[in-house]
Amino acid sequence: MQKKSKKVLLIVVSVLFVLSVGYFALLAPTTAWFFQKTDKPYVFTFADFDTEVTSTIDDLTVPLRAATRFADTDETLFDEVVHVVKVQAENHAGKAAQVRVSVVEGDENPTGLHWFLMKAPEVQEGDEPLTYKTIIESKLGESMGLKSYQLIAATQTKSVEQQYEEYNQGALEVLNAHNKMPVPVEAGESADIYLVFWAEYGEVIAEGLDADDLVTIGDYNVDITFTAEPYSNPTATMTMHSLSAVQVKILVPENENTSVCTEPYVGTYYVGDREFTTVDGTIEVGRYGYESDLRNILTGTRFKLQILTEGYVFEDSGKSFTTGTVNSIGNTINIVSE
Amino acid sequence: MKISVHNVLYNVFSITTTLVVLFLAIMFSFQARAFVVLSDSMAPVFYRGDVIFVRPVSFDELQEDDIITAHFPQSDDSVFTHRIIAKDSINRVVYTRGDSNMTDDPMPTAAKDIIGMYWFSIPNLGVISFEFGSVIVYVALGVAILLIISGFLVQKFRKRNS
Repeated sequence: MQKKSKKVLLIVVSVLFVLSVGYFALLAPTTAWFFQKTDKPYVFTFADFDTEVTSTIDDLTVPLRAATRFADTDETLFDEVVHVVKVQAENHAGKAAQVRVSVVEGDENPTGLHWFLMKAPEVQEGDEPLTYKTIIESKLGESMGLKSYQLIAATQTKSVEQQYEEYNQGALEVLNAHNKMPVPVEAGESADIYLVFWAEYGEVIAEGLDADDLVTIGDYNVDITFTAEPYSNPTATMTMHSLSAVQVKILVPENENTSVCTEPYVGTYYVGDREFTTVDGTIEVGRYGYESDLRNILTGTRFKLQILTEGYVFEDSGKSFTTGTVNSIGNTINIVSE
Repeated sequence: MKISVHNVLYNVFSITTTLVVLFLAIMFSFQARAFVVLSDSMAPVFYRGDVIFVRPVSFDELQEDDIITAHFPQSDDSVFTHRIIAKDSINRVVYTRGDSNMTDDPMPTAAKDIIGMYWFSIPNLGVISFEFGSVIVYVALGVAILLIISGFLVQKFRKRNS
């Protein structure tokens, strides 16, 4: 009898134990401070993010009145039919942050929706006309241009579906990789993030819709999630951008004890996924792609730039310069003709 | 009296579980709510991974330096736990800040959004929540209950056959 009651007690205690563990395992979290305004104008404010802070705009309607083909170099109506969602990310925390954006499509969406992440000042609200297509092409550089060239060149021999498949495997992969890049927001500052949506013509007609009536493709629904996280990485990327092929030389200090830049930068730099090495500080910009990146550079590192191709100068935020410091959110240096 | 490992384990298990259940019963009687801390913003009072207990309090009782748990403005789901740095009794709002944050929270918290006042915390208890996703917890708990019950059934079946 005692044994039986002991067993019953053990069952009861076991169930209570399991329920107790379940209670603690499923507790609601108390998180870092943030605020989201999910109606227009969209705002995502965070003030405290030693952990990730997430804000989601649920079930947003993206009305697109026509499809367009990004890869088509003759497409002049691209900017006319895109839908732009602007979100202001405000960093009230006392340290640098980065914001990542992800878009999840609704189950009932027609196919063909694509988007591209942009931020001010590369695009400004109210700019007319907003040349989204040019900006996207310039940001994606050679890989997008090359794929679009192949697509157009193959028009006579391949079906639209085949062409699109090739396009999808190449250019759109580059585009998706770009969209995963975080947007840096310095402490106390805000960043205007723009999501440019369009319906890709090739995919829309591949679904069997009437190619002559692409002005009624319907609405798309999306969930847009913004995630803010601390930007604690002590290294940053220095990006050089040039539409023309130029050579530059980068000089860095000899050691940590000096800020005088006398030594050539020795190491790797990247153009997209392609890796190059320099032993004398010379970097090719605009030759293999519009942007050349020096990655994992320690923040605070001083640098001095020399232009080796005549007729060009360095520009940062509209100002000419030759020396600078790698900051926590990275540096973007434009090389423009004099 | 014969002391077996089985008996010792049984007693430890039973006593521990009874204490946990008693503790939870007392918390419920005080209408306290527990939350897992996901942020280090209130360090060193409590840290990420701790479980904090919050008890209901009226707005009038709250004072500067009290730590409150509240819903974010315009949010019904997410909550935060920060210290009151100023109280505006006329507009019935409080201004808050995390102890280890470099800035104040950008917006005041309305009285209606306040869930309660921080009572105490248990360090690292939230690890259970971190380690197991909610679905996995449900499955694991279900399996645990099934194993317990089936163990007894098998034992009973063997005894009957012998």
